[in-house]
Amino acid sequence: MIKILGLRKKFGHHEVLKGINLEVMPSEVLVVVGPSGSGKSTLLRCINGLEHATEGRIFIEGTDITDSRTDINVVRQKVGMVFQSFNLFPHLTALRNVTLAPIKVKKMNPDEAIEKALKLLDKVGLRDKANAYPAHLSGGQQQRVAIARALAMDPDVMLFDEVTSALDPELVKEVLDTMKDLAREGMTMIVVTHEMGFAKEVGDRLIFMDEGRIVEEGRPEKVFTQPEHPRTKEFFSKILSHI
Amino acid sequence: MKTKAVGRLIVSVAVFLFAFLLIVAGCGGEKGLTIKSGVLMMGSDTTYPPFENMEGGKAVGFDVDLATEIARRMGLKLEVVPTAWDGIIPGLKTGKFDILMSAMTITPERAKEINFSDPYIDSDQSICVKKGSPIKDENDLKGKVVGVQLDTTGQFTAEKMEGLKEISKFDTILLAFEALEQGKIDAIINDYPVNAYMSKIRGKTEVVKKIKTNEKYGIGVKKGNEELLKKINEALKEIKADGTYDRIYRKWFGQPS
Amino acid sequence: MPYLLRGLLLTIRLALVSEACILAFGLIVALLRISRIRIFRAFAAVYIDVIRGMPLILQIVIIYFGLGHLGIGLSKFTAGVLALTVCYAAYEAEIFRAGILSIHKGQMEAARSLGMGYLKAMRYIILPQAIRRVIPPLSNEFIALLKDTSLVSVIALSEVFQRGRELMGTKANVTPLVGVALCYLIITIPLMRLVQRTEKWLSRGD
Ligand SMILES: Nc1ncnc2c1ncn2[C@@H]1O[C@H](COP(=O)(O)OP(=O)(O)OP(=O)(O)O)[C@@H](O)[C@H]1O
Ligand SMILES: [Mg+2]
Repeated sequence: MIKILGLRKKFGHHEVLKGINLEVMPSEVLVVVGPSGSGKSTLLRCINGLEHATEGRIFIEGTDITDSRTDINVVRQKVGMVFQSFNLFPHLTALRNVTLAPIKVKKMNPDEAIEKALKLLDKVGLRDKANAYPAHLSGGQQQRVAIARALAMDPDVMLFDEVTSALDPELVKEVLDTMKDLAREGMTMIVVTHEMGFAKEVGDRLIFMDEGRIVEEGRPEKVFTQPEHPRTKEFFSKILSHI
Repeated sequence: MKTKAVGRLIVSVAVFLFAFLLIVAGCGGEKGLTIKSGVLMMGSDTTYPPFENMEGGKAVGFDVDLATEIARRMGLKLEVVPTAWDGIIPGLKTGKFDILMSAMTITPERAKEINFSDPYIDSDQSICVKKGSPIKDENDLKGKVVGVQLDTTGQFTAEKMEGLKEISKFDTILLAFEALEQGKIDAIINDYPVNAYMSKIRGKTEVVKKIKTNEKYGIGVKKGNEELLKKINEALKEIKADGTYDRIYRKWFGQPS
Repeated sequence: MPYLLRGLLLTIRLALVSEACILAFGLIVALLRISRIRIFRAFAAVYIDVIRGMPLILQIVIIYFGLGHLGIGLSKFTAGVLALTVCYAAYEAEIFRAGILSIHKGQMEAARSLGMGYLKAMRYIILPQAIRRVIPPLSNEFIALLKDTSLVSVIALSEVFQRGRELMGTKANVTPLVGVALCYLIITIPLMRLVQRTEKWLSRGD
């Protein structure tokens, strides 16, 4: 589904990704964990072309997105992304947030798009908020609309970048539940998160990143309970002591 | 404490402003024949050759030479104050200069606002066109765009004509000539001597018709300043009598008056 | 007075026609100014600097008489509109640019991640938000524009200010100028009030 070979990313002289090799299978839920600044966001942003890879290749369903001949807008339709800061369009209602891209990009018939958007909003539990503007929604509600918005393009894979970190604790669950539902339906997902419960319950595989490298990889429970790499050990001991 | 300091500040600013006003007002304060003693200040729209225009930063022209001569005979030095045409009568009335000399036709309307000296030159209106234009006289101007200088007897003459398409009013006659030469307007109606002179020096236009209006130019003096007016008329009479006038006339118009 | 009012109509016509052109052209210049293509950026930057560095009245004379010397004959009205457009677009481009840059970059990224191209994202996501923010400063520019139309009297356009000066000359007193002042004020004061209200109304949403 996704195949990454020797990915490097530099910002000026600062190398943030130092050779990432990674493969994600269809319907797999990959959890990405690592300390701040380790390059998790940058990895996700490279996968949907928000950042250009400095070196290496990224294949999405066989298409090399680092090839300059690839139309990145077409690739992005297959890759949904949800951001830490929601990034809903504040001048549009929840419904219009969800229908805009299908109508303007996929040229979907508006009635059809609305019908579909209402179904998606229903799925994330927000059908009654369809006509509300983002400013009138709670953080958790905004993030669920953002998920519905990404799903409206029928992506084959969804990228989640710390989507619950900006939320009040009592709102985290509703967003995680939505993501669990998605995973259960067989969506391919790459999830950057510090929610270890979620990782254990839904994650098929976990990678631990440090300083631009993947230093450890395995089943989530296994990495939590018996980390091998010293950096991983240190990281989890810190995190778990907080809980 | 603080309010006291503020109070002091206000007082000192007020004193300063008052002193400043006194100084400024003092400049024009003394009462004499002219605003500045020893000097005759002349307001003039210096964009109107050959009567008055700027050349190398100096005002030159028929009016300037004549005024210099008048000032000399009154024991004064002439100082030209270049002034926009539309502000020239207000400028005289508000004491910006002693006299107004700017190829100004004596009209009853203007005479209500200011006093005029005895006429010092005759003038008529004329139609000026680009060389080769089919326009020959007033009748040909029907449906045409005519350029004038704002608020001149040229404008008033044009306004009396019927069937003009438009009257374009320029701030200076120089801009009107620029427009005429570029074909932006079809004709200029303006004082004959100026149209003739401009056509001669710029060479792209010609005067095709003189329109007799029997206009006479006068020197403007603020109402109430009868003494200055009297002295100017005396000087003017002298200049005309002793041949100085003819000399100046020939210098600017190339022919005897 | 009707004579002045007819001049005021021309003033308003000049301002409205120019404003329409200014908005379109100013937006284009702003987009060039932030474009990723270097020559576009350079062109827009030079344009903005050169135009803002020159007095408007000079631009009016250049466009009417200067272009005339080069054989480009424009009517007075066209030249007036063109000069006002060229000048004000430079200022309004900077306002548009600031408005666009004030939109959080997450908005562009969210739009792009949905598969929208740069122009679509601009059109549906960035500009609608940016325009809301620039309405107050653009309205103030419009008021300034309305007043600056008085400068076109230099190319013999008979707008309200020129007519006032003309009457001042013939009547040889100050009343026509008071009339002109009133003409401007009956338009500008309500506009200023309106801008204040819109400002308040727009800021309610934040
Ligand atoms: N646009 C950029 N320009 C320069 N440096 C950048 C840019 N984006 C990220 N970086 C740097 O790259 C490094 C990795 O950033 P990244 O956001 O990928 O980390 P992260 O693992 O997601 O961290 P966090 O948990 O804090 O989100 C950081 O040192 C960051 O400062
Ligand atoms: Mg991050």
